[in-house]
Amino acid sequence: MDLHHVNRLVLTGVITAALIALPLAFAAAIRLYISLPQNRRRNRAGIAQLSSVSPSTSSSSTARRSELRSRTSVRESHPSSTSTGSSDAHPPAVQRCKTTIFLGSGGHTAEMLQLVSGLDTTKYYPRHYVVGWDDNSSVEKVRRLEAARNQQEITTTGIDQRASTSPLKKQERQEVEEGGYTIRRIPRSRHVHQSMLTTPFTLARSLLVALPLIKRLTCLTKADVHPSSSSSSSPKDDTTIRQRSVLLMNGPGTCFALALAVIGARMLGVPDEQTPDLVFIESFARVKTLSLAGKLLYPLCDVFLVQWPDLAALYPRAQYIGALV
Amino acid sequence: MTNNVFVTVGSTRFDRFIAAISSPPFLAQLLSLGYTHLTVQHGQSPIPNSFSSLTHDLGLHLDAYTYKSSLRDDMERASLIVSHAGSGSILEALRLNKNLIVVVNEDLMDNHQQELGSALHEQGHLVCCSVSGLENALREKKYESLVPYPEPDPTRFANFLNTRMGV
Repeated sequence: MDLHHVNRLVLTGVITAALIALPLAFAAAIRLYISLPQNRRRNRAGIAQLSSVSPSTSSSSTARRSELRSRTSVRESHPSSTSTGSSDAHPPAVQRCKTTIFLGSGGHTAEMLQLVSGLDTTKYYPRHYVVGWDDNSSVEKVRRLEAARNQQEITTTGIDQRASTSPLKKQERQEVEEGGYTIRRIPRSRHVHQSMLTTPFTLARSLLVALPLIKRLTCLTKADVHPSSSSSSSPKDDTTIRQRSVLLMNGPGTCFALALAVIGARMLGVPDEQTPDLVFIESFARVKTLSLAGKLLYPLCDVFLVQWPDLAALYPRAQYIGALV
Repeated sequence: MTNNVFVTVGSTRFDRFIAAISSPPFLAQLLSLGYTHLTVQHGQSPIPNSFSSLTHDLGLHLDAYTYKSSLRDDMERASLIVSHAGSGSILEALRLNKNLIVVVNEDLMDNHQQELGSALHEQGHLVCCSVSGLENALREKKYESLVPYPEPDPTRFANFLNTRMGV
């Protein structure tokens, strides 16, 4: 008798759960699908161009440059990225790019900082560095790099210090005003030699920290993206600058949590153009096979750069523009 | 200046490599090639007790240590670098435009280090070999006619990203 009762209870429970879970899973799947890089509006025009030129095999830099130019013009003439209230004939250029940089310690940090050292700090501003919880050596390297650059900057160009409307914490805002950058820490999603069984838990922990961090550091407000369209409603429209956001990653695994957080933000309804472009740069050490981080991030990233032509031939969405380090 | 060999295993352990470079035949070969100084960064791999007395007897000046925060000075001093296949060490040595032999650890499960070594070998920037091929690589002296590795262009990535982001 009892058993029969329990059976029925369990059965009803399972059916109810399924009835709730199935539509939810379906909605989530659709959300996920439109959040993936191939299906983002910003990327679609570019992808079409890419496949027609088949860049993965072309290594000529001039061809590459003209192709990139044409991709940009396509993207900029797209209605979603033009400003509605502009009186200019051509769409206003993006004036600033919010930059979040993941530093994965050791060789990853070294490669990434070399890439970052070439960026114009007046355009890529502010810069938010995200490092592993105990990675003090990366913090030191960032401070050294930024100190060297800030001295140059003060003498050459004054950066526009007008603050973004994005919701930074007070201390972060202060750091940005002082040096143009912040450094934030997240727990590693997997330690060296950690068992694959416990990895989901540590990954979940990183994700929990990454989600609010990503929301605060990388996501843009509507006014950041379309400053002139909000001019009627906002009295301080002249304090906003047209912005975009980018998240630079090169491994190891912890940056997967950051990328997932961005995809998560898109799934939760943050408008596409307000989320950062995900950029992954595979290590120079990877010639014929992707790293674990590379394999995980390949389907998620908007831009996937490799430093050897063989990899670009193997992975159609990967781009090769030469060795970068 | 022109007679210093620098051997490095990086932060890893590579016992067969260290055993090979501390063996009498290898040391004799170095001497016959005219090298007088040997600097060894051996990391966690043990060096044989007889190593210092052996080199002393042969008349080779030995300097061995486990690790330093920067290997830059030792690399600059060397006229030949014999390195493990880690990308950091390879890049550092390539930047200094040194004669470079890279020894691949074939015992590692993940052989992507070998891929980098052989790709750069094919382009002529270094000589890549296994532990057993080290003697041959030294004899052939191909490391004396390497193609200089081009300086990295920091604007390449910056220009790419500027175009992509529209700034």
